Amino acid sequence: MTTNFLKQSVGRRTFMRGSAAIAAAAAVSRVFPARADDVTLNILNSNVAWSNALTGSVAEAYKAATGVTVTGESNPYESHYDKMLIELSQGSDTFDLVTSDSIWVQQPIRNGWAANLDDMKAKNPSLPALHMENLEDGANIYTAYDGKRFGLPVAMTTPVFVYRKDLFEKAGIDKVPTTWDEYLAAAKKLHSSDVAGNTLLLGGVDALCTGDWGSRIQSMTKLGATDDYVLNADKEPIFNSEGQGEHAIERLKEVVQYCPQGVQGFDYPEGSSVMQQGKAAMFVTWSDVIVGIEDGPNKGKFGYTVAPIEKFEQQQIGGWSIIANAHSSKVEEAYKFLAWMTEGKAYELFREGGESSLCLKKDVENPDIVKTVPMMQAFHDFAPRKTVPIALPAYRLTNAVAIERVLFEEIQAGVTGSKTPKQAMADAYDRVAKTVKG
Amino acid sequence: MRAVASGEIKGTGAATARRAGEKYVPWMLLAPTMIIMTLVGFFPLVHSLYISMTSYRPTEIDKPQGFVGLENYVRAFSDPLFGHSLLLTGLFTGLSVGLSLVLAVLLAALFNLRLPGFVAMRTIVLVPMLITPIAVGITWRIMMMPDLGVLNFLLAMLGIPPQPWANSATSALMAMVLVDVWQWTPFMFIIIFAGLRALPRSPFEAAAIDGAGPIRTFYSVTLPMLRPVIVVAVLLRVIDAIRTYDTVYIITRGGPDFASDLVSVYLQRANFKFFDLGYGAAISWLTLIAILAIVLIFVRLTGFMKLLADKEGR
Repeated sequence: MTTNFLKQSVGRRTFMRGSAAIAAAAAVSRVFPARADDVTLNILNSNVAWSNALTGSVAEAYKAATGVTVTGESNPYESHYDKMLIELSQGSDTFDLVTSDSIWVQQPIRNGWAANLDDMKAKNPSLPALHMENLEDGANIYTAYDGKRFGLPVAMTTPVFVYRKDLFEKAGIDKVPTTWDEYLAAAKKLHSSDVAGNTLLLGGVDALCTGDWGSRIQSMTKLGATDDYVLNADKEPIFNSEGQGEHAIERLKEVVQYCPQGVQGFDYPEGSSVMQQGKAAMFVTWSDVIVGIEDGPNKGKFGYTVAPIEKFEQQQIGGWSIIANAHSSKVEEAYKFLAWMTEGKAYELFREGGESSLCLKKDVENPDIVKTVPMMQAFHDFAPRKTVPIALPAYRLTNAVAIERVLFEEIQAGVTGSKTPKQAMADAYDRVAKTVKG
Repeated sequence: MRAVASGEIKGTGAATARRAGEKYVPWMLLAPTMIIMTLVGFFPLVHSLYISMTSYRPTEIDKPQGFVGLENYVRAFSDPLFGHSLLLTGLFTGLSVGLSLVLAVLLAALFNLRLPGFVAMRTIVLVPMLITPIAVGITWRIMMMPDLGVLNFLLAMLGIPPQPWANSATSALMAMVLVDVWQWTPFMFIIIFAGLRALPRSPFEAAAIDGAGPIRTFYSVTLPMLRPVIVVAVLLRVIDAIRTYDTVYIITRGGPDFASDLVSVYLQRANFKFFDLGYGAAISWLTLIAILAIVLIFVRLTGFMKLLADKEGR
């Protein structure tokens, strides 16, 4: 005998029957499909402005429109990639939607972990259409493969030249540098014991490879809109075909002396901090990592434009993308969420949430937006300078991260003097070719 | 009938039955632990040995994933970065444990003086080892920022020029040693201090009667008597220092220019950045073997087993 919550005696048989009834009720409740307002979409998310909006204001708007709940797990940049690969490679359905840096996103797409949105629509015509025409073409390429669509961009980024307008004025620099020669001259002129002429981010893999070296090499040879400057379409290394890889390293070496102390270890956070605190006068880095520099003591003193060039007006376009997990049990609901996003409201909420790396066409093209988001000036300068967008390095490969790491190691060796630029690029060619083959 | 009636035979049967039942009791009690340990410990270990002999890379499913024999081990021996990370780990461990030991012994001797306020101070000294290594890494990363960190601010107050700390290839490893010593010296201190307090008083009284001064007593009486405790503390710290990962990953991620690329950071990169799990498992096994070899050499050189036997014999 035992007692129930009313302190009444309950026989063993009665107790067993009661337990069985509760277990049966729980099992039956799983058999019947959940109502629409019970559906929850879980996102493997990042931790920046747009991602906070994605599970905040965007989730609220989607809940109001459809009754579907959207939740997510925030991850810092470094661990996001590790977690994404562990979850997706093991066929986990914990996350229905996954956000990804655009340089990583071909890995889940080509491995079959991202749902093919075009095939889903073909199989089920009642699904809503995706309005990709509302989003920037340069950002759309990363989630397309073999003519099919696998996801959407959530943010569009580009290397931005950030400079201190007040320090330029004080140093008598009238023209904002548009070439690397002018950049070098400005760094020299601006450098003092209090404020470094510029800063590089020599300690960060992505920051050095695609940010510092990438922003130099991107304009050295003529490229097409879907070309990248590391591999050609046949996946062969091309990054030093005309000596441009070495030349980009030389371009970095010539300004190291005008950097703050400790630049060898700088990654994105340190670069933004030294700029925010007024310890450096200019730098070139990705537009999505400089959010927050206006929050420091130098608010309103920063100018933004596209990176200087060497020969050709070309700028990398990167950013973040979102895909639906092919293993998700709610993959159609995930599709519907993505289709709703392409209507535009979600992207407006990203902007209102503080995101400045925008990919909604009508936002990018709207001059009024620049007044509220100064960093957007860099994208507006594309048209007057006739800038051609180009793609991120090695984005077509499933192991772009490994290629990026190899390049980082060799570029860093070239910049710090462990190797000559020529040797660093020769070694990089061998290692990249081997890494491509796997 | 006679047999049944006799208590002797009946008693023997009962005793046999009891013994038969008892025979399985220890196994039954041990079974849950053994099953769990096999599942969570032994099986993954053996599985990782198998993985180390494959080219398993779950993130590149279009490439071969099969059995490759000892190819990954051969690759490890010709991988200069792995060799470099092993050497750095050895240097880091030697410096960190050596400095921690000296500081811990000095602190233990100091706190043994039982001066006023030392009980509270002893508690404060232990705080670093209570902080999670991730928090330690983030805090030190900020403190060591060359232009904005508090360390250079304090140095400037003393008229010393700013240092690059973890942001330079020449000083990054020493900066990591500094953080490790700061965090784990208290661990060695508490072991050595406990050992010091447990020492018998008579040898010290005898030394005093013989006219030995404090320094002579420390070197000729205290340290030799503390040897078993010091050996245990060093052994634990050596194993721990070789495995150091969190703080280094947070502060330098192995850089700049591989200056702090300890083997644990390299292992993480191979396994969870490139998902080269076959090679990652192989270098994990080689690292495990290296650690075992170091521990065995240490045990042999210090006569650790003899010290243990003497202690148990006493």
